[in-house]
Amino acid sequence: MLLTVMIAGGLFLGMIAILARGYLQIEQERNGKVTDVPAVQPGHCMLCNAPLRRPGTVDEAVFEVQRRIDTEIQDVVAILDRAGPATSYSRLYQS
Amino acid sequence: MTPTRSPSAASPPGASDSLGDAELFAGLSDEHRRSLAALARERRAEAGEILFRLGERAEAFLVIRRGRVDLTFPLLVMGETRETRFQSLEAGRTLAWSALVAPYRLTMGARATTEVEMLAFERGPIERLFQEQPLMGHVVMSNLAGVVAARLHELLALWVREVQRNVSQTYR
Repeated sequence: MLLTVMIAGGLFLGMIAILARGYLQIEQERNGKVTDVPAVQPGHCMLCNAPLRRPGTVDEAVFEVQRRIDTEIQDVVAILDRAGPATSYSRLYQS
Repeated sequence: MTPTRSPSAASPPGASDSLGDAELFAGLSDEHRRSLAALARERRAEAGEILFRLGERAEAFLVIRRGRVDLTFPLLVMGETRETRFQSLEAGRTLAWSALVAPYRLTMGARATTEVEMLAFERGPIERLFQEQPLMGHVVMSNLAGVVAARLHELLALWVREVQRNVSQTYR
């Protein structure tokens, strides 16, 4: 009789422990404290971590580089053309 | 001292007028421009033609009369080297200024993006002309300093911006 009560008590406590652990895990997920998921890097795929918007061909890559230089150089030339107060010059080195 | 050629029919037609719009010859008198025009040689290029490459020896500088030229630098992309545009230049702008500054090596490449007409000036005759007429030499070299300084400033700004971007991303 005593042995039966001890086994049933053990099973009951084990069940309570499993339920408590599940409850705590749900609470952690709800609070965003899950630590075993890798952080998503900006500019990278959240699934495979591959860089996003990567040009597929050499032509596309060169086009993208030239587009970026064009944008920057137009801004730089505009600032240099307006050269005057030191405040406008400070923007020269800030993208 | 080798005598300078006098203005003659050998200079390209309208060369003297073209020099009036050239950034390198701003502030020169008509007489000075005629002297320079006499040393000019016409050069043409088709769209897409490579005019020169980075690191080549610069024997003559060029002034664009018509058309557009891209200044380029070699960029290694996915194992392939491509001439990549840094800046586009149009009429009046100077190419290959390194021909006037030691060690006479070109600091960028150039590629015609349209059909282009240019005036070419060989270093030797130009240096002799400047020795004979130091005032003209002073004006042209001052203008040249302005051209080089502007390019340096533009490149410096691009470089510092890139460094700033990297620092901002690394040390957030």
